[in-house]
Amino acid sequence: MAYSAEISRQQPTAFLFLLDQSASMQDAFGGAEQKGDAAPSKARVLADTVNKLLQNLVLRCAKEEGVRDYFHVGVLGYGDRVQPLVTPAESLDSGTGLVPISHLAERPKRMEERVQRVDDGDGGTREQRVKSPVWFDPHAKNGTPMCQALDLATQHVRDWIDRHTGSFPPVVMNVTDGEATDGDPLRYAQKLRSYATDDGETLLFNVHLSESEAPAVELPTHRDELPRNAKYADDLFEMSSTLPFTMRSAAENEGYTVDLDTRGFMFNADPVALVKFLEIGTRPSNLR
Amino acid sequence: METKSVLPVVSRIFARPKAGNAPEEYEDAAAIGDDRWPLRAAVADGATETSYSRTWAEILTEGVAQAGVSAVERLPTVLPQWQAQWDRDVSEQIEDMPWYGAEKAADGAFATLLGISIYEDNTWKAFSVGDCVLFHLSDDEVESAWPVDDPREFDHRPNLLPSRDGPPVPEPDATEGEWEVGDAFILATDAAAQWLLRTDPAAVLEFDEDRFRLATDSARGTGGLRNDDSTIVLLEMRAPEEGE
Repeated sequence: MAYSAEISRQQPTAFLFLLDQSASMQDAFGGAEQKGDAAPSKARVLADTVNKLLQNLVLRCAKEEGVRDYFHVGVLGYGDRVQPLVTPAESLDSGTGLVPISHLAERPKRMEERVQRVDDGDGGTREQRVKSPVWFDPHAKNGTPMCQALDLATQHVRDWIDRHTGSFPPVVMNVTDGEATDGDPLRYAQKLRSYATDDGETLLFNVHLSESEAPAVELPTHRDELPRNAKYADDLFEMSSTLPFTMRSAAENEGYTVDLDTRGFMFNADPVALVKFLEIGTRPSNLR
Repeated sequence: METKSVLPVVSRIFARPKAGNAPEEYEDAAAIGDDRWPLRAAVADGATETSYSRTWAEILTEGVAQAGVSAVERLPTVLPQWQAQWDRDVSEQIEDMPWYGAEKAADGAFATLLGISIYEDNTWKAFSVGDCVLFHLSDDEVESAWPVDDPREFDHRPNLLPSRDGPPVPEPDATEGEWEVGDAFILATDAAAQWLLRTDPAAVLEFDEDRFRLATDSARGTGGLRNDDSTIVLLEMRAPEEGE
C-alpha cells in the first residue's frame, strides 16, 4: 500500500514549505478581526505560523538524548527572488537543499522571549516567560514567482528521493495569496508530483490565503465546491494531491469530513485554517 | 531471565528493542514483584513521540510490581506519586539541555500499562490502560486474551497514562478470574501481543532467550511481528512442590 512507509532515522521523510513573499503579503487577511495598522500582515502571520510549526516538528523528534532525524526540512521563500529560508551549516550540507531536523534544532536565527499566561493550578493564571526559536522573518516584495519556486522544489525533491528511495515521499506545502506571475504553475506542479519513492509520488498541497471576506473552502473533494469563474482556484485545486490515509485520519481528528478524493487544498484560508492545514500535512505516519 | 524460588511460580521476562534501535532506546518496561503472595507483574509501553517515556514506563511497572497496586481503584491515589517521581528523575537531567529539552519534557511522557496480581487463593485481578494484552492459558490453550483479542484491533492510538498532571487520565479497564496449577499468564506489549494473537501464545511456554530471539527475528522478517519494542512476561503456575 502506498503512503505507508514507516518513518525512522534510517528512513526519514521530508517536508518542504514554499512560502509566497510577494508584495501583497504585506496586506492583512481579508476576514481579519483587527483592521488597519493593528492587523498583522499575511507575511507576519505566515512567518509566525511556520516558525511555530518548525518548533513543533523539532519537538516531535526530540528525545532525551537529542533530536532524532525523522524529518528533513526545507523552506523556500518566493517574492523578489526564490531563496532558502533555512540552511544547514556548510559542513553538513546534504546537497538536497533539505536540512536534517536536528541541524535545524541547533541553528535557530535567534530565540525570542515571549510572555504567555498559563494555568496556575489554583483556578487562576500566571505569567510565564517562554523562549521560542525563530528561523526566519517575514518578507514581502515584488511578484509571485511560483513556477520558479516549484522548479527549485522539484530539484530538491529529486535529489532527496535519489538518496531515500524507500521513504515516505516528500510532502511539499505551498502557501500563497496570489496568482503566479511567472507562468503556468500547473505544469511545474505535475512535474514535481511525478517524482516518487517506492512508497508513492511526491505530495503537493496548496493553501491560498484569504484576500476577501468570502468563506474558506477547506479540503474540497469536488471542483464545484470552489467559487465559480475562478480559474486560479481551479488551477490550485488541480495542482493539489489527494490526501493519503494517515492525513485523512488527521483531517478527521480536526473535524473535517473527507474521502478518497479529498484534496490537500484550502482556498481563502484564514490563520486558523492555515494552522490546521499544516498540522494535517505534517502527519505522514507514525514515527518508529 | 528471572526464575522464582519460593513461590510455586516460574517467571521470565523476554525483551527486544525495535530493530535498528540501540538497546538503550528500548522504551518498554517489565517488572515482576517480590517473591511472595500476591504475586504482581506488569508491562508498559512508553510512547515514542514523548521523551523520558522509558523512565515513565519503568516507574509504572515498578509501581505495580513493588508498590502493590492490585486494585484498579488505587490508581487515582498512586498516579500523582508516580508523576512526582518522574518529575524528580527528569528535572535533574534537563537542566543543561538546549531549548527543546525542557520544552519537550514539559509535555510529559505517556505510556500504556498492564498489571496483574495473582493471589494464593487461586484468584487473580488485572487492570489495563491501552493495548498491552494479558493471555490466560490453561492446558496450553488460551482461556482468554484481554482487553484485546483480535489482532486487527491495534490502531496505534491506544489510551495512555500521562506523566504530568494535566492531560486527561483514561479510565482503566479491569478484569478478574481464577487460576489452577498448570495455568500460565502472559503479559505482552502491543506488537508482541498482536503477533501472539495471530499465531500461538502457547509457544511462549517453550521460549528461552535463544528461541525468543529466533522467533522474533523470523516473525519480523515475514512481517508477522511489527518492528517495535517487544516485551513478554511469562508466569507459570506450578504445584507447591514444583516451585523449587
